[in-house]
Amino acid sequence: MSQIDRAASELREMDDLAMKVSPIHSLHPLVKLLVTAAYIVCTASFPKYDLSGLFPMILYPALIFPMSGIPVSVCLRKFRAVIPLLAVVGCFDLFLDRRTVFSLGNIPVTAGMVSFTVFFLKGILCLTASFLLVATTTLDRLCAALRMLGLPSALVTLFLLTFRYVSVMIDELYAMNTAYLLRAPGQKGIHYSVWGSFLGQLLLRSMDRAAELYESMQLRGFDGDMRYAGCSQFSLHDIILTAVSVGAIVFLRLVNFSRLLGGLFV
Amino acid sequence: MVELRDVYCEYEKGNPVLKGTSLNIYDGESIGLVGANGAGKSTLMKAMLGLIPYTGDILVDGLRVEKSNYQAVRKSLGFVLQNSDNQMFMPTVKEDVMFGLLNYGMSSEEAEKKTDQVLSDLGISHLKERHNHRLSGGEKRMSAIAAVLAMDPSHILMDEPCSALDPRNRRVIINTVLGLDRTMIIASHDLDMILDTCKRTVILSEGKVVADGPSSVLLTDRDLLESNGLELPLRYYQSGPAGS
Repeated sequence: MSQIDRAASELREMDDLAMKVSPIHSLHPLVKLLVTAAYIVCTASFPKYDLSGLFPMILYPALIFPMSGIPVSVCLRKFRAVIPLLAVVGCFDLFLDRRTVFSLGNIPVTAGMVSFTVFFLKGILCLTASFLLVATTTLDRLCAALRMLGLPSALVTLFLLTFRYVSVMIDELYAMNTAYLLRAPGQKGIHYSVWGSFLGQLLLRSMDRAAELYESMQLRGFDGDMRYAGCSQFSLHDIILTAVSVGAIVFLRLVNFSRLLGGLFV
Repeated sequence: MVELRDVYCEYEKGNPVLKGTSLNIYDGESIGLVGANGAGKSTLMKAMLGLIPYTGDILVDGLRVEKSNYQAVRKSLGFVLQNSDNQMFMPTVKEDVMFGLLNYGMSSEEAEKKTDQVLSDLGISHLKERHNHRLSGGEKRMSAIAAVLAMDPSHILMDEPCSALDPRNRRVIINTVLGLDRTMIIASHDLDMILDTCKRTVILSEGKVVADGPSSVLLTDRDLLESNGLELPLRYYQSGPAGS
């Protein structure tokens, strides 16, 4: 399977996940958006050595995965490119911060190891939260929630249309790539000498498509403001659910739950 | 009724695509616009919709096609694009069909009800929640027609409605067109389809109307068709055209 095929297939996979039916999928998109934002902010705000404080934040994905029916394996597969990147960025601390902070048996644990683990865990948790949001919410509902939050219409429309046309661009790219490879036997990938014309063609095609698309929108009354269907009002029930969820996340951030639990036994 | 009087259009200065086109389209008619590539079929449709500047007069139900009337004109004229991907820009079929309705001030509930009704009329209710980029060519075309029909236009313009469709989907589109009780203006190179769906045909050549009359007469006139860069419909090649 070529990289282009793989990209298209991954896009379809995300669509399928977002179309599933589960208690999490059926939540109002604004609830999910706000809770995810709160979770990411709280998780990212942990100090660099606060591993025990960060640990209980795992509870969030640990609850959402089974409730939404999203397989953890899919999430891990999506992160295959990001995990090494996180490890590379975080690993400098291993060498720069070599103070021993405690020992595990005979093995000294350095401050660098702790900060590396905290950095890595924070990265994974924040990415997982974002993944869960996208995997449990269709993009149109997500865009409706972003508009409810007051994000500029142009930005949200751009986001929505980008998603819609990524697949079309992938098809376009696939066709051009196939046409190229059929006339360039034995070559691996596209030779750099044709990158310019290849991208230029893609740009020209995109511009033609964009012009026709805009005409199509104008013909159906588009006045610059996208109106979204299928997203109900933010009810009292949704407000309470958001408040309780965000409250629980803030509680986990402010109170060192691991230490509190450990204190009960010491 | 749509009236075109002496319409000129040009994309590049000094190189007009429409050169004084005049045409009357009466309510309830089905008209096939045929002509070789570059004859001006799509340009004519775009001019009627106010998508490109023109000189002359284009009147839709008595309203001149100009900026102040665009909203009313575009409500009367529904346009089905040749490339459904460019028409179906929202993520799902439901969202796309509702797009125009919401823009014209309908509430979400009313718009969804209307969407359900149109999809059901076209027999594609099962596509409602589907993602547009995952539909087949025929499904996309039917959804694009639904998106236009939902707005209840009195006239429907179609640009190559059957292009790139397999025979079965082509037949589905033809049957759908035949079942539509509106003024239809169809631009196509598929002359068999025009014969099936349109009683009247207008032949364009180099931006001018060169023939206008019953499809059964114009589309069997080999000399006329060939002199304007066209050929007889395929069915006449199998059974032998009248008068050939």
